[in-house]
Amino acid sequence: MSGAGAHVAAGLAAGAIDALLAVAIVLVRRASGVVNFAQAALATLSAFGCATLVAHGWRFWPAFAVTVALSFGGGLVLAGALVAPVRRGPVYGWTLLTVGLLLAVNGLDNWIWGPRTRPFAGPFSAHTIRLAGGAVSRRDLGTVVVAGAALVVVAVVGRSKAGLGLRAAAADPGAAHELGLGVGRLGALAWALAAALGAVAGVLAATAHGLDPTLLRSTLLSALAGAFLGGIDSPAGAALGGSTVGVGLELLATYVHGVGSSLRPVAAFAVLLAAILLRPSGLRGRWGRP
Amino acid sequence: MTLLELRDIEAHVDGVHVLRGVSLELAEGEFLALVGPRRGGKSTLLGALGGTVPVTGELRIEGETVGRPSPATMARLGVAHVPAGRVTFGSFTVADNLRLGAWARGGPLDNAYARVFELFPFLYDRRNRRSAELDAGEQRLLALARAAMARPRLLLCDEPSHGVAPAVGRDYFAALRQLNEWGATVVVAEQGGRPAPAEAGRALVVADGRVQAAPAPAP
Amino acid sequence: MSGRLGLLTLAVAAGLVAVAPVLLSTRHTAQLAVVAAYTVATLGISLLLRQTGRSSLGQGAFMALGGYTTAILASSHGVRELWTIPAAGGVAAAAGAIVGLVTMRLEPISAGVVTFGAAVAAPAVALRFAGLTGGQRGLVLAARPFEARHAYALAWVVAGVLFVAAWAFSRSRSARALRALRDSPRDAAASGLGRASHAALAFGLSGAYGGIAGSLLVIELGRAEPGQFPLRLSLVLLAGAAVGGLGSIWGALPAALLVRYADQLAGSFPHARSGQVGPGTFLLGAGVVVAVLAGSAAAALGRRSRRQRAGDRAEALGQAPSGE
Repeated sequence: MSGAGAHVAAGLAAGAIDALLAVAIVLVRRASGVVNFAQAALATLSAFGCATLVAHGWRFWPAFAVTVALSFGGGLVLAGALVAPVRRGPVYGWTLLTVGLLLAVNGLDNWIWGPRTRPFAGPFSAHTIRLAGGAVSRRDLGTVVVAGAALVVVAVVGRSKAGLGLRAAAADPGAAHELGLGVGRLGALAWALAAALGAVAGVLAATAHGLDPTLLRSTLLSALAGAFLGGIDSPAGAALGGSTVGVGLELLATYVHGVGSSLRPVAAFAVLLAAILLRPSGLRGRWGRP
Repeated sequence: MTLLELRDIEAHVDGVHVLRGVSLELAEGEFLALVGPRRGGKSTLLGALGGTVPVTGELRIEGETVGRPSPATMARLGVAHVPAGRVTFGSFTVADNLRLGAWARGGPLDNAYARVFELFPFLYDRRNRRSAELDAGEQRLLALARAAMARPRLLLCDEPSHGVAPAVGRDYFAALRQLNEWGATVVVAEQGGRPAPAEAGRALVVADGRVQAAPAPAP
Repeated sequence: MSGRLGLLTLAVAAGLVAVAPVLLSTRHTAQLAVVAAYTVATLGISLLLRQTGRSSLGQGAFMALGGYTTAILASSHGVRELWTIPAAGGVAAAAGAIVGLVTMRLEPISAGVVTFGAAVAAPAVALRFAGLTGGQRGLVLAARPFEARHAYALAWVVAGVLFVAAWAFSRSRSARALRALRDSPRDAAASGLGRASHAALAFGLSGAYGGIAGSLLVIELGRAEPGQFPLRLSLVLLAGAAVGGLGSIWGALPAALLVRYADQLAGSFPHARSGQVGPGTFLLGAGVVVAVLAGSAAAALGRRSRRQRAGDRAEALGQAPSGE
């Protein structure tokens, strides 16, 4: 691959995956007031599920669709099991809970599938096409398209009646409850959407890097950075912030030589710190608790 | 026709026994005022009817007992509650706020919008503005409009005149009168000590957690 | 724990620790020295949790700070390992204080997010600044002056001293004041500057413990390399501290044992092969989830019954109902 076009495309692909995870984090955050540290691990689990289906002879797209659907359902179950008991507790309950969930899911991945990276054959051919003066990878283009489609779906849901209810429940759960909205059920919807987005992110990341339990670890950091950059309560901001961080990090890694992959987490951490310190509007202290 | 029946309704709020055996009947199309001293239980009674306050005792809508009244079930039965104080979603547009009013009731919205904009033309002009940009009086009217979007059979209004200009209070009650003419049964609870509004056809005194006037509707 | 029971427990533990190297092989003695380091680390986490209600997801990063401080001072500057320990603690304390000052003004989740980021970034930072840290290969301490038993003794003596210090701190006035602030955040806004210094103190202390833990770890292993401080370490330390008794100082040693031996324990489960990293992590994580859910359920029950009892009391006294 050569040429700026190819690098930008690779950056956009990375940014797309970061954006998906960032929006997922923000959806849960708005609905339940929680940063779900396990979001990436759950997404990785979804990717493993997809790989398992494919290994059993499924074609990619049906496997992908079923994976997303099952992840959506899994998000509903997770919300039902976790949100109600923990909702009225102190913050560290939530932090510990999601960290525990992260460890449990990650441990499960290691237990069932092992730590080795395994190849993941996505639906995109390895070919490149000539675009913008460079050889752009089909996989990168495909990633951006699929991620974009997923975000569009979420945006459409946001405009719908359910989406309005979700936004109301997130903004003022007490008032929403008094209007007859099922705040708990709407919150579960947010978790389900987040899980589905995570599944898309996980599968797309696997097509690019192969599949192993630590697949999305650094993505989580960039996604957090992007989410806080965009204002932690705004899905649109998270999409934009996540994309920006992803593209920026990718271009940084490409054009700053002699560094390898070790710079990504450091740079992402720097962005996260800057975002948290300089954008207090992203940290309004709202919890979304009833 | 009897719309609502309450028998021996008891309610505890934060461990305090607020409603101590309330019984009353509401006829369809009535305009009822709840009066009485402060902290006598008027708001709690409205909350009970709206499903936000858990109660023991019997609650019947059109003869059917409501098992576990919650805001969602009461909304589906056509009850709309406008609580006291500020309750609009400030960061949402006026249009979205209105849309939320009909959320729990469901059903087609066009007719509801038409009626609401007929009652409150200024809301049509402001429909794409964030509701936090409205002043206090306009927000109070928006809260009523939002309840009206649900095409309620029973409309519960808590302290509509409190903290707003008298002109707003007049507009509010004019709208209530119109809604009552269109078929909604209206229950209004004003602040403690104030007399019943003129629009009301009947008044009940709520004091010390009990209703202290004859519950049967006037002929 | 009550005073006498605590003293007894301490005496028993000290006895076991003293006897262990005599009874166990060198390999197991070395493992237990690592447990000592982990104990110091979990002490730091528990202290922070108890004092401020905030979770540190990045104790491993503080350990990396302290561990590399020790390695750099010892290998490049010829400082004796013993004296590097306070230095490691100091560096990590400073970092912790900064984190505390910065995040205390923000909502509680920010501490978790920042420390999480630090935990992810720490090994990468160590790789990045290879000139200082020796990069991938890390730094090796000069021919170890300590043989296994001395390293073991050093680690446990330090752990013991720090345990007593933690115990004393949590009973001190400033600690109790901070806990009161944690429990009623509205008052926190009123106290202003005093609160900031308390936050710096709590986070700095927690960081110092982490730094010393890292220092002990590096001394025990004889080298510092990025792979010693992965994200997983930070998270399992937090998980261990949670399962070992939420924020309890007395739970620090069981927590450390759990962290060190979770994988071995899980290896004895059916379907789990020994040496696998997964089952132990899974059990730790699941344990935390269950502990949090159970704790929340208990708290909710406690709160509901307290409110009912308050209501019954009010009614018995013939008080008028409140609310319209």
